[in-house]
Amino acid sequence: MPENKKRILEMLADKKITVEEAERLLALIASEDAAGNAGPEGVPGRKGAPKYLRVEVRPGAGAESSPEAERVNVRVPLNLIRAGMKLTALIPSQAAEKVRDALKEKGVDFDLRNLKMDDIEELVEALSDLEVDVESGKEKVHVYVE
Amino acid sequence: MNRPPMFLGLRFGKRDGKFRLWLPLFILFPFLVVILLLMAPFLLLAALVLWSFGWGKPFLLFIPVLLNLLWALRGLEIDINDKGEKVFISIK
Repeated sequence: MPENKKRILEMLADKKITVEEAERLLALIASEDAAGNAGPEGVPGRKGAPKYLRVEVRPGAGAESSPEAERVNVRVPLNLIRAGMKLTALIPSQAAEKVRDALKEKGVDFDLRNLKMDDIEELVEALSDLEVDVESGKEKVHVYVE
Repeated sequence: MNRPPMFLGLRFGKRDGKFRLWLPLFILFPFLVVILLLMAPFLLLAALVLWSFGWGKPFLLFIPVLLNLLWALRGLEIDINDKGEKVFISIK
């Protein structure tokens, strides 16, 4: 994946991402390379581009059979993130400058207009490795991409 | 290429009383096209007026972006069960 590595380094040079983020992305690419070399089938459930972000909340141990227990199952298409990012094109330049200034005041040096679809694609691709598993006494929360 | 959502499924309510709706969205698309075509001259006129204020381009881009957002909703599924109360939204 030399192309991806090049893009990450370019993003780092453009100060779009921090050194730590670049390090993480490069490590991710290295692990993907290793997984790709390991076998043609790869890891089950990790094939192809991710399509959905899943959020599941289930009752914890002991409350699983209770009909009163809270259960949440949300599936959000990742295309919605891509389409949402296109909304930035609707922001007129005056408004974008105001947003940039407001963010700068809060200590965030970021311009929405510099956000490119390639960057979003990379982010969405990187999400394929996302998996959050939280288990408290009452509930189990599982966030993943499929 | 994204395909537009074809069906909308809604379910609300408790176990005893439920509201169910299954809406074939593709039936609405011809109406949407007709409404857009009828509104096109007015939209273009509004864009021309707004152009000098810097809002013309965003205004013109609004409809394709909105349609893109609608298209991207395909596959969205929300299923919430809380104390016997259920909310289910599915866009296919």
